[in-house]
Amino acid sequence: MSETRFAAGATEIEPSGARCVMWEGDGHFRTTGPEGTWALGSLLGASLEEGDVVVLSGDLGAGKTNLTKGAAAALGVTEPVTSPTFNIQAVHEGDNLTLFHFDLYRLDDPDQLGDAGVLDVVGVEGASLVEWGEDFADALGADRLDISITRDVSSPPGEEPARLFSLSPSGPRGCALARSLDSSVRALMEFLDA
Amino acid sequence: MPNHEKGLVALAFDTSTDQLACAVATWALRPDGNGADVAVLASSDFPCRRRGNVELVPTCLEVLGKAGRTMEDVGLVIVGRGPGSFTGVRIGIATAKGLSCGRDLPLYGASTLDAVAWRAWLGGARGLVGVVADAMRGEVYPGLYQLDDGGPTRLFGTERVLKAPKAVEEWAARSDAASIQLTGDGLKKYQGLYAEAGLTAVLPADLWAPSGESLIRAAASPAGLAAAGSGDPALVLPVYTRLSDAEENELARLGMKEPATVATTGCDDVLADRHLQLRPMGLNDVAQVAELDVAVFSDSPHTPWSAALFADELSQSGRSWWVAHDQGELVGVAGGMVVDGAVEILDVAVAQPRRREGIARRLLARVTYDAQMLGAEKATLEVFSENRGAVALYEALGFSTVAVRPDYYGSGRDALLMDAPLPLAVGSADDRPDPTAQVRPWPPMRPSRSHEALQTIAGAQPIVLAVESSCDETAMAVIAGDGRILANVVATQIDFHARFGGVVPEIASRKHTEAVVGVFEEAMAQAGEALGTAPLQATDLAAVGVTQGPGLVGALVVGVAFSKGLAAMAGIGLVGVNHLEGHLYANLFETPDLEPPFVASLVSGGHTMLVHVRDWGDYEVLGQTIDDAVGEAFDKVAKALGLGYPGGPVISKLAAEGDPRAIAFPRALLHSHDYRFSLSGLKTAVITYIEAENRAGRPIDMPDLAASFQAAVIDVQVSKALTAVEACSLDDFCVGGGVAANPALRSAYAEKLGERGVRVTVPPLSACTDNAAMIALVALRDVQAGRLAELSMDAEPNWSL
Repeated sequence: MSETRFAAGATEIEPSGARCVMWEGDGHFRTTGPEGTWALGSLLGASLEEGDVVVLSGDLGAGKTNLTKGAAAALGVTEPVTSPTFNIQAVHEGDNLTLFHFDLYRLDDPDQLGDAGVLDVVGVEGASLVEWGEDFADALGADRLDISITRDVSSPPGEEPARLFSLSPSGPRGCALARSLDSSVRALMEFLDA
Repeated sequence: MPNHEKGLVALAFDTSTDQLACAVATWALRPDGNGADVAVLASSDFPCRRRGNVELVPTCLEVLGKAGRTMEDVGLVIVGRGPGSFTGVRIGIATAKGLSCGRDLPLYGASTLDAVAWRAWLGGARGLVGVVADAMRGEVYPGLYQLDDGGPTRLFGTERVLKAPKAVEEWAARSDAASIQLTGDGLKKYQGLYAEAGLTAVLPADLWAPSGESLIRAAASPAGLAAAGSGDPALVLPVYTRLSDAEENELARLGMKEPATVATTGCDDVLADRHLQLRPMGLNDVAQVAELDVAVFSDSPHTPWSAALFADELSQSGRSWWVAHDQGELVGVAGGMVVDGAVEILDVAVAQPRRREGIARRLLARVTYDAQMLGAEKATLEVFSENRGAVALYEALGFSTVAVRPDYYGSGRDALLMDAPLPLAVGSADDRPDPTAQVRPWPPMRPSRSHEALQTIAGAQPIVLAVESSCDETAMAVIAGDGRILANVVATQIDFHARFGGVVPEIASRKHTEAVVGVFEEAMAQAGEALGTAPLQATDLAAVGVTQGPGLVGALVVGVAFSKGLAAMAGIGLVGVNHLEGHLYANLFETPDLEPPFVASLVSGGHTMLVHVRDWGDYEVLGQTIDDAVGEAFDKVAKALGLGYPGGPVISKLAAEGDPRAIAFPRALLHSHDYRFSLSGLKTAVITYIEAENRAGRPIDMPDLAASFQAAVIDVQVSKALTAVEACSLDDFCVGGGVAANPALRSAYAEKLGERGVRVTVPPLSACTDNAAMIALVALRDVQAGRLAELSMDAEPNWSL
């Protein structure tokens, strides 16, 4: 196996991380361990374009923030990325694209999106990754990629379960983004096989 | 209006759109006072999306440099008030207020729509011009102008916001539709929509945004100057055209049938011992309001309103009705109707025993504030001429009689018609400034200073102003070089957020923008008093330190922009302070000889963390919450119990009466052998418990529930604190943040850590919640160490310790 690393935008995926990502059919991936989720995130980040909206859903600790960290690294963000639970919105300047990281955990009504400044940004500028946005998905625009993260219940007991990622795109950019992520993960698989 | 016929240098800028527009010009008032003559010396206009706060002050300095001038030459500041991006407008206005306060300069506001129309005029356009400014969310700010050789003339009253298709429809229906030449940044999205409706004449895209020169010309035109204001920086506010979404949605709901809530029963206010609250009138209030109206107006010629009339008002648009209530009892009502840029006050009634408490004044302030946000520029009312008390109140608020209607209330009973410019001169209820724009004499009187006063000020250097606007308190403090706090002012917005169950970011940003000048003046006056001199001036300061983060981005930028403007104009230093470090420093108010290393717990509505303070400025975050903050958990539980917002004081008051062992709630991560916290599970357990008891039909023992919940929080906090202190082998422990005001938590720390010989410092109650005195301590340290920030500094909403 090659010990060279796989390029993902402004960052590279270590082979150890690459081995933790699995393609399980179009729009379905499995990662084992945080490094796998980070690697998948970096592939997502490398595919992002201006105006893209990605809504991440999953329980606490599912890996939403970790996925965002990978995406940020691929965009060339060097500052630390944490969940902006209290502040709702974090802005990270990438090399060529601004990443808006939202955590809507504290909101309980779509009416609050405007006053929290979410609607001024999502789909308007930069690329937006939205955690805890599943309850407000419709208000976040029709063109987006929803990614649901679940724990694999078939994982051996006592072990940190693998994470299953399932994409549901809508609209032209959402679909393009899903296709791009699919082909990136497949390319990563081929790279490992080579 | 300041005397500037002789000519002065004006600095003008606009950050309402994606374009940063800035110009420096000479400005001479025309002898007839009808507009000013201007000559642009230098300008800079460039695309600047989201970087307005970074670029604005450096750009001002650069343009002044190109014009061969400095900040000291500036005699007038002009700012674009929007409409546009709310945050963009606030960056411009807060910076302009800072610049103005830096040297007591007049500040004029100009409409950004007018500036775009003037841009078209400067570009050679004549005839009918339609400005379409992007209002986001599918909406635009439309404005139609007639351009002749003298300049553009508005064909509309006040700015407003419309759904794009509706705006297109309005102009398409005009008989002269085909001759409208379109411009404005709204065309980036909606040019096609206008074209489909037959509006195809479009000005070149490089004219779509305001320029520095067009902004100055808009302000210097006779109409622009008439609307520019008095020069008082407190009164220059953004043009929003709408309330925050939270308020808009609330207004929509108020007219609907809604079940009685705790807001109307008042049980939360009783528990929290909160008196005299204001809130918008709802359908549930109309019966009580009608009774009040009858009681108040029984002996007067004014006909009381019926419940049906009040109910009808709630379903009308352009209305604002507010009630005052005290622990469930309705004690006052006021309402108004916005028509053609003016708000007509329809009714003001305060219960007899509650007169002379300033209730009518506060209610009118709310009604007219809403009206101003909806575009009103003045208030009008009619009053029975013999009602001396009411007439005196209105006169104190700035109303003057414009007409008399003889015999209006019957033979010999005249009505006075009065009006007043907005905002009203409401003043402040107590020694705390309201988070609203205040009308007061301007410019401030600056008596010449004695030699002693100058020496006192010199002896107190470096004097540093601290500014805090990270959440819902607009706070400023002044500190002397020896660490004495000379002034400490907090304008809390809690009244404006409480009824929404939490801090509404858009409202917080608006209130900071309104309060910032008043809080600054109050802090400078207090500092002068402490030194035995007249109010301090910005040029007396060595530096201004401002909370740069963490916090709500829209709130932070107001304090940062104001501070940068102030620093640039007064020629003083600038320091960016970490809010969390401020909370650590607040412990010095309790234990002045506190020295690192020590362990600190920061617990607030936004943070829950344990920090190893190795040295001042050298921090290791040992662990923090992985979900909710402690303060948030208190708020959520209070909400589930219908106890209102904020939850901390009510829960802790209830808990004092309850049994902390009554209900076994989970202690999350108690044995995780690290310093992570999790409050989400506890919150869920409490809510599940409440629902289960409700289903079983058992009454909830509120004190027991509160005490048990609070004990579950405290157990984990204290246990982890103890482990941290022992693991770091330290014997000092400190606390910071709003939750540190919780008496049970304070005493649990003192007891459990005290047993182990650890000295526990808990800041005084007033220093636990957000304040600027703690920011001042950090700022002074940095000033003394020469660690100053650049004027390109921006807010850092996610700044960690």
